[in-house]
Amino acid sequence: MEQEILKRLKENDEEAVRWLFSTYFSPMAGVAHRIVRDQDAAKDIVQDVFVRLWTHRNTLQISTSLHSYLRRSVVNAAIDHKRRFYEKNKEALSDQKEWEDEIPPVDAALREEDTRLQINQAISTLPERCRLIFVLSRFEELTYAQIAKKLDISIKTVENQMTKALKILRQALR
Amino acid sequence: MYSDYYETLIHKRLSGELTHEEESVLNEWLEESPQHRAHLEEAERIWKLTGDAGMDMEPDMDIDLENEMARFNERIQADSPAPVKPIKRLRLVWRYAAAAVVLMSSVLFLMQSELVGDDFMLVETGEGETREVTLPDKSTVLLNENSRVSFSKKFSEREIQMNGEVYFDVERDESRPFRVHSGKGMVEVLGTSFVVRYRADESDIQVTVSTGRVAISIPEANQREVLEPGYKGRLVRATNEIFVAPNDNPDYQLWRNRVLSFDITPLSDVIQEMRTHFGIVIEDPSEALTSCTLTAVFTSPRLDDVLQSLSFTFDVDVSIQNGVYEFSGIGCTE
Repeated sequence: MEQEILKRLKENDEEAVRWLFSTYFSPMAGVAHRIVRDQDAAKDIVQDVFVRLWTHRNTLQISTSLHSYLRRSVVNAAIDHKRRFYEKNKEALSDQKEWEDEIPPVDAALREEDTRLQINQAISTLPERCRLIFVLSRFEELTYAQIAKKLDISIKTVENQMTKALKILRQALR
Repeated sequence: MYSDYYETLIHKRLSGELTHEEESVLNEWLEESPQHRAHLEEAERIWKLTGDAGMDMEPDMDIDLENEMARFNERIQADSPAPVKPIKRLRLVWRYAAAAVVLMSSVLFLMQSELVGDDFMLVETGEGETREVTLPDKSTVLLNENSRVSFSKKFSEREIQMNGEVYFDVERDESRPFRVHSGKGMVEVLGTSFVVRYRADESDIQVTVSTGRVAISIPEANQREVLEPGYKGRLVRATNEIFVAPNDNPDYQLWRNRVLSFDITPLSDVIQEMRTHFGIVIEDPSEALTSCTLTAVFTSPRLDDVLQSLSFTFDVDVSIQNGVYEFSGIGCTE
C-alpha cells in the first residue's frame, strides 16, 4: 500500500495526497508536538515535511516504510526547530545553568485517577531540556549518542538528564 | 536514596545503553539487597508506564485537516513553477451535502465521508456511526464508529489499510491472499471473518476470529502467529510481541447489532452458532445435552444474556476454564 502511495504521489494523484493527510497528519503532528510543545509550530513542521516529500517525490527512494521515513523527518525537523528557538533566545543548548535547574515540587494534580493523563503530566513537569531528552530517548528511540549529536551536547549530559528524569518520575508516579 | 551512579546504570539498562562492565557492576549491586532489586523494579514499572503513554500519538490537538490540505496546496503551487494538478477540495463532500439535503439526514451524511478518486477509495465513520462497504472482490467490511479503511479501487492486490475497529467477512480466493494493514500489524487470510481493532490510543492491536484461520504478523519484527476461530491475537505495539489466547471478550461484536435466532434448534447447532457469533471457544456438549432444542430470538445479545437463557431453559451449568466454555447438565427429557 505504501509503495503504491508513493507511486501515486509521483503521478500527482490528489487522492494519494488526501490519504497522506488523513492517515499521517495528526499522528505526525502529535510526534512533533511532543518535542516542540507548540501546536502551531508542530503543524508547520509536518507541513514542511509533507511539502518536502512532495517536492522530492520523483527522486525519493525510501528504504524503510513511509511511516518511519515521515517520523524520522518530523523528529529531525522538530529538533531543528527547538535548536533555532534556543539560539534565537540567545541560550546555547549546552548552557550548564539551565541543565542544573532544581527539581520542581510534585504537583498535587498529579494524583489524578487517569493514569495516562497522570503520566503525561508527570513527563510535562520535567524541566524543559530534561523532558526533551527523555522524550527523544523513550519515544523516538534515539540512542544517547544520537541525542548528544543532534543537540550538540555531551553524552555525559544526556546521561545526567536521564538520571534526573528518572528521579523526578519516581517521585511523581509513586 | 541511592547514589546517582546507580540511577544512571538503571536507566542505561532500560534504554539498552549499558556496557558489559557496567552491567556486572549493576548486577553486583542488585545482589547486595532486595531493596536494590525493588528500586530497579520500580524503575521498570515507570518505564513501562511511560512507554504506554508514548503510544498516544494523537494528543488533543486542534487540527483541521481540510485547512491543512489547503495550506499544503497553496505552498506546493507557490514552490513549484511546473503546473501541478490542484487538490479539488470538498468536491465530493459537496456532492454528498446536496444529497443529504434531499435525504434530510445532513448531519449523519456529512460525518461519513466516502472519497472516490479515480482509483482510490477512503471510507470513514464518525462518532456513533457504523457503515458497511462491499469491496471489489465481494468481501464485506463493517466499520464501527470513528474508523477508516482505504484501498485501491482496482483491488488487484487484496490490500486494505485500516484504523479503528472493523469487521471483515472475506470472500475465499486461494490465489489471492487478503491483507489488512493496521499500524505495524498485518493480518493475512484466504477467506474468513474476523474483527481488527486498532485505535491510536490503545497499546495493543487486537484481532478476533469468528470463522476460518487468520495469520497475524508484525512484519518489521518478523513475528507471525496463526489464529483459530474463537481465539484473539494481541499485538503489543511497544514491544512487538504477539499473544494468542481464547477470546476473553465475547461481546466484541456488540456494535454490529446482530440478531441471533433459533427455532427448535438442537443445542449442538446453537453452540456452533454461538461460537461464531461471540468468537469464543466452546467444548462440544455432553451426550445428555444433545437432545435439548432451543427456540428463541435475541436482538443484539451479550453472551451473558444467552447463557442466562440457556441455563434457565435447560438447567445447564456453564464453566470457563482457561478461557474455554463448557456446558454441563442432566439434559432434556421429552
